[in-house]
Amino acid sequence: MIMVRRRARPAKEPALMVVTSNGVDANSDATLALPFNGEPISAVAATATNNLLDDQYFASPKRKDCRLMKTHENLNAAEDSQCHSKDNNNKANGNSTKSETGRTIGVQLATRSQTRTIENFFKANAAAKSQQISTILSDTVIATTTTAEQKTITISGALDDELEEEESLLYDAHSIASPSTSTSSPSYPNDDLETDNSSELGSNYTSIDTATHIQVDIHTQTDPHIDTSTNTAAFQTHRSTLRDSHSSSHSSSSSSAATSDNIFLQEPVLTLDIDRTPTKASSIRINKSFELASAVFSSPPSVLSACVLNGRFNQIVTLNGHGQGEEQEHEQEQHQLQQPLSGFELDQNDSSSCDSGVACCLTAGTSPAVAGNRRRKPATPHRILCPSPIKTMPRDTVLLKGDALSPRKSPRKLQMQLAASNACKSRRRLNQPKPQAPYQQPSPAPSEDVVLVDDGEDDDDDVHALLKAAEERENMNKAKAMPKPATVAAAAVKPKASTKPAKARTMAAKSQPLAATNGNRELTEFFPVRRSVRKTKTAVKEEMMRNLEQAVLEERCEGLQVRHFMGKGRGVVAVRRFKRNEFVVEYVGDLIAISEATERERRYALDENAGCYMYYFKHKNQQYCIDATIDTGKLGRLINHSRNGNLMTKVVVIKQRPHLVLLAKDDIEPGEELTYDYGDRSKESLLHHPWLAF
Amino acid sequence: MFEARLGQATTLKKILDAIKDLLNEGTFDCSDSGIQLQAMDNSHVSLVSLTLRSDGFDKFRCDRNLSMGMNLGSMAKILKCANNEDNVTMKAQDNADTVTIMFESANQEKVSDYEMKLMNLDQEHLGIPETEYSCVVRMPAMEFARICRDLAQFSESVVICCTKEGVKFSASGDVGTANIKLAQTGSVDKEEEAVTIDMQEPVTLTFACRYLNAFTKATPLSTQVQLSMCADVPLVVEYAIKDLGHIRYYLAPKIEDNET
Repeated sequence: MIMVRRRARPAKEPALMVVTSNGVDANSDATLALPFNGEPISAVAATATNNLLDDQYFASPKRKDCRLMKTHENLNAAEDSQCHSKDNNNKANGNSTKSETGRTIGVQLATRSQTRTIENFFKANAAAKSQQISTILSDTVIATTTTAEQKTITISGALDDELEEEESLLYDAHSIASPSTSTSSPSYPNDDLETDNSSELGSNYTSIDTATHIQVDIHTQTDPHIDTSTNTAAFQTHRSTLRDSHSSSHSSSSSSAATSDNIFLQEPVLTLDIDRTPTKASSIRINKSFELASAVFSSPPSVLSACVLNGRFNQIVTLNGHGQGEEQEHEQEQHQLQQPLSGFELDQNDSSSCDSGVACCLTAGTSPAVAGNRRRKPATPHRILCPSPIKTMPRDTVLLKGDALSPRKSPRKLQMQLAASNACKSRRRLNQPKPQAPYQQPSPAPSEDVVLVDDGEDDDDDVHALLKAAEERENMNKAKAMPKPATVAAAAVKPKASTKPAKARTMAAKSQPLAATNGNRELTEFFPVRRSVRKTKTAVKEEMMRNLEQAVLEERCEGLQVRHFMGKGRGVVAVRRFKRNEFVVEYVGDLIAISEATERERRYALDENAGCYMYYFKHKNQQYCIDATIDTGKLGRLINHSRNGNLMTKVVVIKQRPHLVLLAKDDIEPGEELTYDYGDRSKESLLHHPWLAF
Repeated sequence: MFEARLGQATTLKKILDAIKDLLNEGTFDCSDSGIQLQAMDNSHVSLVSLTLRSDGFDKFRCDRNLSMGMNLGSMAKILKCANNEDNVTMKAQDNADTVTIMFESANQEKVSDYEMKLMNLDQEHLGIPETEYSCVVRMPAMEFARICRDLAQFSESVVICCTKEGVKFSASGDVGTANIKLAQTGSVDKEEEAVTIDMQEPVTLTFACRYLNAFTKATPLSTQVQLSMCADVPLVVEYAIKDLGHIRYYLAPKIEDNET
């Protein structure tokens, strides 16, 4: 059922989601009647659910597998909450709540992918130290299992839930691989990794897979109650096997993990390991915390049960709850009810967080003094203000760095911050910008302020929703592109964290410059870039000759016009501007040898109207003649004589044949008649053609 | 050896002020005929062309052509050290990697010289073709600066529409629309306050306010500004530098789309 709903809902409309989640919470306690009951227990449960919702919410909506997981988690969480608050009596109620949560979760779950990547990140960080991805993953898995086991120690119900969550996680990966979830986006590197891990785990996993598949099927059937029951049953059945598998498979890889199946034995070992090597410990812890965080998110009651990690996340969760409250503020009806609720939640969370902090320390095997140290920190996260996600994100990374470096900050705090940052990141995806900044703020700020700020920022959320969706998409792509977490070096953590904000910034920055130069063309479009193109004389000559050849071959004669001149007959006039040395026209005619020319001349002499179109010239010591007496319609032969002509003749050899071309002796303006010197000065010619004298 | 001496440092100061907002660095090409600088801004939307003729200097000597790449910000800083009435002398050896700028007070009592490192700038030089502009508007430089400043409040782009009657600057944005019309002044009392329009055919072009406002930094150099426009050709905003040369800004028109 949940699955279906999620798919049906594209994971948007956060405010709505929140509302529904709240309603769900209330429902869990009061069975759907009143969405905003004032009952404290219900409120707590509601906060837990809300937190869950928020987390999912913040997670990127892209991944369906994640959604699946979330749904399971939600179910688990619901169960947890019920177990804690009402001793599992109201199974039916729990189911109903689950179904509702599932709805809401569906939306929020979408964002989960990013949280995931962050997880992997931290894993990668640890991996960098241990140099093996698989081992790291296994460690983390173990850690989660161990934590789950711890919980079981404290609360059996909680343990069940957590295990189930784990299963759901694994199941997630499987689902990705499995065809049933084929609808999900094509590349999920992280998920793949997880699947690998699962394969390592072996038979247990396969069984889980099958179970998950079944569950998926069930989910698709869309009956919430049935689904939940079946799911829980399946999970529980597989739980033990899973646990065994984890312990056995990872015992070899991780020294900390105990070979025995006994959960109790494993816990202390893990903690010891953490303590011994601070760096590794921190990384591992982070992983743990993160995984736990995810688990915690899913199971609110466990949080209440004062698990350390849970406590940490509770803080975050409470913040989430604030965010939700703010969102609800959008909806005015709920607004009033919601605020008191959130405040109450805050208080609860604070106390729980403190307690949890101690508890977690204890579970980790640390001394009570350490626990005491930790105590003061948990309160801080509540006061986190979030100006805007984009701004805060970079700071987060810086802060994280600083925390790691600064000695006075306890490791736990660092963890918290890391977790917070993770949460922030996930939240960011969820279109909720606010929470990020606050978490990072190390100094405790008054909670009231937080609320106020959040109120102010609510608008931003809506405004940024679209932007964030785009961003999410980008992130998705990034996640795809990103190598598997194991390969990612520890150093990569910071870059990645920073890249997201940077991207956001660049987006903003881009828009600005675009606006500035928008639609502006560049000057280089108008003005050619000058390159020094000096040519040698010969190069220039060659180029000119080439041009001439081409002109001749094309029989170019544009820009010329035939006109009649009084007393002269036809002449040629330029209709365009010719530059100096520019090709104007070719003197086209029959190229004949000198003997042939004399022969023809004799013939033409008989004809009075023949005119003189014989052009004699010498080329390479050989006399040629071009006879253009026959009217071919070519313009070259019609150009008149002038002793001060504006054209000059030039011989161009093309394919071993000399051609006579007429070039502009000077710049020629349009309208000028084209003339050249025929060069005939003989007396006889002058006698017959007196105009030759001009 | 290159040496150029100007009577008043204030001119050079104003020139630097006029270009340093658009350009971070520029190459001064010194030749026998004077100093030229041509550079595009970073976005390649506008181009600055500065010409200082050699005969405008009190003393000008340039034995070999010389290109001096300068950081204009640094140059402006150095020029800030000069009093307005000081003599300025720029000196550089051939193939030098520094330029010396010397300020001398009028009575030679104070002489300060500053040496600035030159840069090897690889800048594109644009061949600006001779264009016949269909509209040439001459107007008071102050007026133009005022118009650009005012219209920049309304929109990031200004539409300049030049017709026979006059020239109209308009901008429209979220606030509203602004229109400023300047008619050709009929009788010219003072030449520097005249608005003259030399128009072959009407032109309407859109330009980015930001750049126009950057151009108006040259307003102190001249009382009149000349806008030359032609369809689909960069706008030329020219400020004459009295007795020395001119500074021209070229601005590519915006792609006009009416969707917005």
